[in-house]
Amino acid sequence: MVQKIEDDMIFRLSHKRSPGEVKLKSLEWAVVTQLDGEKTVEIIAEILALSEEEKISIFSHLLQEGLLEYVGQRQSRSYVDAALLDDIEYQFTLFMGPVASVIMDEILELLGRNRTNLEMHQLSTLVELLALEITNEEKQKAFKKEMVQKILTVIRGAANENV
Amino acid sequence: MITNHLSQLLEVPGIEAVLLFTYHRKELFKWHKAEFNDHITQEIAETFIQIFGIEEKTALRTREIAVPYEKGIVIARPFAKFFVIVVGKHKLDVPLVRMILDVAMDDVENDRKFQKLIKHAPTEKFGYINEFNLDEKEIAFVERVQSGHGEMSDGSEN
Repeated sequence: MVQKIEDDMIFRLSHKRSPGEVKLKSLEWAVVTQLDGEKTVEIIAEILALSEEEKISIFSHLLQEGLLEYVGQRQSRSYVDAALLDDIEYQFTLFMGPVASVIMDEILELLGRNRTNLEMHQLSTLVELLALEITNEEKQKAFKKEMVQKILTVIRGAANENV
Repeated sequence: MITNHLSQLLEVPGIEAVLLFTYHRKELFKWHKAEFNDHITQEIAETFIQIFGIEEKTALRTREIAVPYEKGIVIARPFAKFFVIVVGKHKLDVPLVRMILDVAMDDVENDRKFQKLIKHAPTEKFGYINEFNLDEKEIAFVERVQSGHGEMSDGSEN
């Protein structure tokens, strides 16, 4: 039984009840049309440009009315590839010297992560925090420039996989 | 010209609009998704002209303003003769946007064509606020500044 609506949940339209039996608002109808048993709550909310509040209240209402059938949760959490982290560390070392590795571990710890479980959405935060450690403004900018390219390459790769 | 420097920014997932305006409302660059129109972009720009205009009369020097709104987040950065606004969805990778802005806005500022474009743009901000759109507190503050009764030093009243 679903207790709370979460972003990575997937629903489809329940066979037990028809949306026609319930009085729905236009945005709720819009959500109903998106339910395909594949899209997550987060993706549907994004397609329909729903605010956080709208997302929770609409899905909760549809669930309460018995219109949603829970399919499951998106399984894969995407972690940052170890080779990419090594590459970032290498670049960081060019600017910071041998302490780079220690600083990187400290920042990962600050984020509550280590080299094996840093999630993709935390990558930019890691890089931004690393960059702050470079006190020379020009060097900091050069590091950011290099890193932005790497992060965008990862984003492009993920986008191509989703096509 | 500006698009080249901002191309990485436009690639970030969740970006809805990127706007560059001078403080006297001249549009320098505009890129946005279909749901934005000229009226909305002008309104957003106007809001930040008010903010940066008022701020000029204080000792505050904001480097960046990030404001969440119903459908996402708005990030604005002031420069000497212009300001940049980035509008994104909730899921916007804000640290990435910040890093791109750090790098790209330098390139924009150093672009000779861009420098020519803003050559005659004013650096003064306060003179371009729209007093009809101020709230009571802001009007009181503007009146105090205009009558020469001291400027705010840190955002608190003297």
